Amino acid sequence: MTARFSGTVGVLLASARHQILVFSTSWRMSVVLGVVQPTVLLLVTLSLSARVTPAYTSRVSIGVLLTSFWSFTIWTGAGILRHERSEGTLAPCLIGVRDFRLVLAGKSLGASAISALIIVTTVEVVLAASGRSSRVDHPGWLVAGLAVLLLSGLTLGVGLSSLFVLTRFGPQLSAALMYPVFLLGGLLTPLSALPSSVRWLSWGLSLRWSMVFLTSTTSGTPDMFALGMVAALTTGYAAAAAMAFNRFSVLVRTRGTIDFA
Amino acid sequence: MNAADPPAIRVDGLTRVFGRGVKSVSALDGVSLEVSYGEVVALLGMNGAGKTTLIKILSTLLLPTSGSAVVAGHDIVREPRHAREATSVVFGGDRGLYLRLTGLDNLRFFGMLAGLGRRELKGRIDSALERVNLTSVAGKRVETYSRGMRQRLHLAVGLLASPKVLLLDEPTVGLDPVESDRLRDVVLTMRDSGVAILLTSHYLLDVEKLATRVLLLSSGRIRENMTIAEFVRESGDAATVTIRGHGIPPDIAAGRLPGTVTVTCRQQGSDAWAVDLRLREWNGDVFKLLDDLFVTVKVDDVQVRETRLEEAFAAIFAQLTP
Amino acid sequence: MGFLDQQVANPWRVSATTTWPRAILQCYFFVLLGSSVTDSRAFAFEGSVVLILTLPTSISISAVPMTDKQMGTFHRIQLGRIPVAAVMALRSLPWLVDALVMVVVSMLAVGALTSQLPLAFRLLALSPLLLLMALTNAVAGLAVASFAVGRNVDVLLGNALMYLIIAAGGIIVPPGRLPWLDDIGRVLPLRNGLMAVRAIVNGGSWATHLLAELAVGLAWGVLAIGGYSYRTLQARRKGVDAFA
Repeated sequence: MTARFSGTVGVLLASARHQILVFSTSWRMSVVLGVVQPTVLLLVTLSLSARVTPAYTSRVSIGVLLTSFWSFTIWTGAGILRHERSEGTLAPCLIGVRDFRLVLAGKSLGASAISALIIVTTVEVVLAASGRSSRVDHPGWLVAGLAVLLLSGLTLGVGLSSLFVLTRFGPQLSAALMYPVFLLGGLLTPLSALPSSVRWLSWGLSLRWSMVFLTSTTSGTPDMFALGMVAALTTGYAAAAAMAFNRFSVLVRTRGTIDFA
Repeated sequence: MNAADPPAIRVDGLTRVFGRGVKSVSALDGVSLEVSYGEVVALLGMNGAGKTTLIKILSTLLLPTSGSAVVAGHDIVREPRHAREATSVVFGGDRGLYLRLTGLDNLRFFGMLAGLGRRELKGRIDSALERVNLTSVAGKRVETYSRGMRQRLHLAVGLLASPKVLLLDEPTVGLDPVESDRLRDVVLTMRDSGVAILLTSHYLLDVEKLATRVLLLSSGRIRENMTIAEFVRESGDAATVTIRGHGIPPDIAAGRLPGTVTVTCRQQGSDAWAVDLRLREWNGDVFKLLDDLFVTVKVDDVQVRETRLEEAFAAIFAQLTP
Repeated sequence: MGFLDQQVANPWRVSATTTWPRAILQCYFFVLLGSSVTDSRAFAFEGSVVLILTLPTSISISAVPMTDKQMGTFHRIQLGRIPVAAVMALRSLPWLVDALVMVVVSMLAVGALTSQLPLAFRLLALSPLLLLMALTNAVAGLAVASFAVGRNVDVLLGNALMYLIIAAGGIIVPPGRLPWLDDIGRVLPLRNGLMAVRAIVNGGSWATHLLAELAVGLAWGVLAIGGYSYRTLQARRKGVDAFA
């Protein structure tokens, strides 16, 4: 049991490490999504308000973090299998001895972790450079919330990756999914501004609840219901991701489309 | 390994169809074959014959439409994971490697995928790099490698897991003669250690140097299953002897020739001539003929050319193609 | 050729189902963002609509030279009779058309969503000005691409241009909030044109802003011509493909 667990953890970590290495060779997208986008969004949102309090700064910072984290997930995490295919490494991955679901989960974890690190660093640097201070009443819960967010990113990366690899218009799909989540997540724009007929969709987004929970850790009492929702939705995403991957795995073997969409 | 051992690869009535209805294409049609441990079998065929399709099915990348395939005792449809544990595939080419990572990073990742733990991975990587002579460049990015080096890295990936079955899809494509020889030596070492090897190649030198048996695949079907010697004999000729001389040409009457020899005589200039003797096989009659024909004439040059496998290949496939 | 290229990469049905909805939602996002704090919905609407012009003309337009890099066909263009910069410009026309279509679609859809339809129709009447802004932005996009494609940073710089316009182009941030960004914005496409749009809508003086937009566009045009000419010269000197 212990050996099997350490083997599983070993595969996850090795795959995460590998993906971070691959990631580092595609630094351009990281700069766009991890540096340029959060910097601009932070500057713009902070300069929109005439009166910027630490609480406002914290809320906006979390909104920018989640916005860029989703951008990263939809472009890089969701593009893992697509990238493997374009490199010609998808076939060797699929015929490996290790369960590729585990390997893909590790890769997605690596992508999520590195993206979170880059974005958090950028946000801290921009806040420091602009002389803004933020407020965090419950740093421990903030870290816990970020950890659950990472898991959410992992499951989304696996699921979306398995879907997007089946079409050659994956990049267009990635682009199309950015703003719906920005809006429905209530990350930088209020949910109340959306038409009531679509607002209910936000209940199914872990990012919306992450926003609520992480913001609650900066002042007042941490919203445990929101944390529970993130965890529950992440579990649901994991199940959906497993189904998506199985479907992909069978389809490419049945159709013979390992090398092309 | 002895004759009583089950084969490493057994394929039975394997069929693979792509597409549906009127647009469907049958890439494999009832293919059956066996490969034993310690044997190298070459799969030959024109482009589009189904060679890579068969390799993909055996490697579990592709599902067959019907039929069965068992690799190292495991059905590739019902027990794909166990089949993969015993198999390594070398697809080769410019793709299939993380170009922006180092050779070492590639081997670490693929070694992990092959089920190797951290402790044994290092040793296996060092050994594989040494066998393919890439130790000195392992720390460099693959995109800086030459084509031959990339091909060797592909082979190193295939060697990591010490497979029982090795599937090689055009392993020497793009390699110069020295690199090709080096790669063949590695393959022969694996064969000698008992690995079953199924090889596809367009380079008949690979077939000649490595294979003990040849399977001819045409339009998705196995047409012939023969040894190398049989393969060459099938083309019709074992060798061509060209004799050049001057003066009076030799007196060659059809009745004097054994049944296994055909001859053509060419005049070259006013005084010189050349005689081409095409031999179905080497035997005592041939040497006696040469002695009788040429003892009285002035011979300037004798050349013996063994029939090249390309000629054998072209001749056989000309018969197979409608 | 440009139309064929653009259609292969972005067939109509893909544009209609993914790219245009993305543009609409991006526009909607920035309107809500801009009006969430300042409550100046019209200001945010005007800027967000104009911002949509950047999607095909700042980011996607790098596909024009990128195709030649990937296919190794630049030497054919180099050996042709038409100047390289002219070929790139002509092949970019479909992206201009795409930009206008996206702007109109976004304008009407988001106008309906945010109760800004009357303003949307007023902006529609300013299509010639929007076309000019699409042109200046396309020229800037091509100029950036001439530098970026050879270094494989086209995605980075194309996006950076768009984000710089968001920050410094007066899109949703009123002028004067961040003076140093305003200074940068003066030399970027769209900003002066957007000021002209707002001036027309609000009944103010617009000619100076229009001329400034033209001047900025011309300056970027000179940079683009210079960029491709330099690449071609380097290719001849070093004997390599211009974007190698």
